[in-house]
Amino acid sequence: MRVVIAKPGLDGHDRGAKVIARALRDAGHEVIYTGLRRTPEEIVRIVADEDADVLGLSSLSGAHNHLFPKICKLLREAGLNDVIIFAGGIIPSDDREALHGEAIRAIFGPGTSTSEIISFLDAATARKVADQSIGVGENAEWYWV
Amino acid sequence: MRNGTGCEQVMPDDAAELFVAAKNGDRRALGRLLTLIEEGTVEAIGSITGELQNTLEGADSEKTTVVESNRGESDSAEMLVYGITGAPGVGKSCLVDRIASAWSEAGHSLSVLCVDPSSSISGGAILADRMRMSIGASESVHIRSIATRGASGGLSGRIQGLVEVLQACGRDRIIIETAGVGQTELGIATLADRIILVEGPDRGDMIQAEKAGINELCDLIVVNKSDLPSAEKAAHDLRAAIELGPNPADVLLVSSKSGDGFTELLLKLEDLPLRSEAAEARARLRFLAAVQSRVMRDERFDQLVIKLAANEISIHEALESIGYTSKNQPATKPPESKEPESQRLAERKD
Repeated sequence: MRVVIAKPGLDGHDRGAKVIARALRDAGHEVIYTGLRRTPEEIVRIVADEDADVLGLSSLSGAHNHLFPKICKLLREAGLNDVIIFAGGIIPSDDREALHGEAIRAIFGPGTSTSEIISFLDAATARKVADQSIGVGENAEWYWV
Repeated sequence: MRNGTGCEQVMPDDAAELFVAAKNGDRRALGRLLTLIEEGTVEAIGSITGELQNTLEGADSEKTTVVESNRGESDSAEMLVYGITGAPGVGKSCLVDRIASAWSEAGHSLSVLCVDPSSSISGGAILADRMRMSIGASESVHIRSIATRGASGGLSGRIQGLVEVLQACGRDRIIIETAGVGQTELGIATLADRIILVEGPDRGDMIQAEKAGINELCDLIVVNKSDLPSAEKAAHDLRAAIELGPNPADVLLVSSKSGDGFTELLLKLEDLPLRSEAAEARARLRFLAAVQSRVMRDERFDQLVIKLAANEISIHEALESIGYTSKNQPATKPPESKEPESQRLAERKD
């Protein structure tokens, strides 16, 4: 699959995102890394131009509450309803329910094994093939635990 | 989703709709259409827009305008494809960034195709060129990241298809950025109307390029990182090395970091002649790449490889199976001539 890994907000480093990117590559995916400090609008445009199947959002400095839902909204407005979204970084458990409500299908904290993320992507693919809701614009009930 | 996951194929009608939407500026439709071409769902070789045009004319001929996508005519027109190639680390992405910014500001509608290698082990890829480009932030510049997808990925055909669609959608300048190492990526460079080779200031980079023979293929050489002390000497050495050859390409010295030398580079790019000496070398490479691609896409190819490895057939027989006959031999071999390859070789040595 084509996966965009994006870092919205003002994070200064991206070691984690790069580790994830490499793991995804080793699992056979094509990974487009946007680099640091992209605005929500830029990220949505990249997803459209690259025709990405999956978008991984990474935030270490608290941007998630504001920027992640905004990105989800912009994606829906742009008609990109079938893109699968997952998130990673420093995201406190209290904040996670709201993000799942935005159809962010998985949230991975620090220390998550890369194999877990790969398993999530496999499960997400299976849902998609079976025509079950998995995209950002579809029913938000299902998420990875 | 991708075809490989067993989802139903997108019917040609959808491709036609995507094309119309893309021509009208829908970036998502363009992204989707480019994917269909990459996957071969929509036939990429030949006149893709012609094929879509036929579908469209059946659908709704009033909405569409006739598109001439004959690449042979594009030389004098403003639709040029620039191949920018060079060893990893010489600063191609920064260079492309500056050129693309300048062209975008000058009003061109631009597309940048960034080609990166796929892992031969996993088949995956990290496509990280666009992150180095600030122009990615600008809405007017379209960037698409492309993985080589292995030798049988049919890269040349895919890129050709992408270029044709992009031009049909009104992109008047296309840059293909590729690492230019290895046959696959060199082959891509030959799809461009003009090839620009980017060198770094270290001698090591140049030896790589010379080995690959790319300096014979290119129309312009740019030595990047002029802010570093060794760059000027490197440019000088390079000029000296190629000046004895026929019609040597110009060698320009720039710094993508500071912008030094870019005024001259941009002027040069506006009026860059095709080196006729390069034309034959490029045609040869392009033809060979196409032949290789054609052979590998033959459905009998994998089986023939297995038989060859097991010595069940000879190279001649394999070639004939897929239609390549030697002019000295009859078109079909008599069935009893199943001599093992080693015996045939022994006979030839006599």
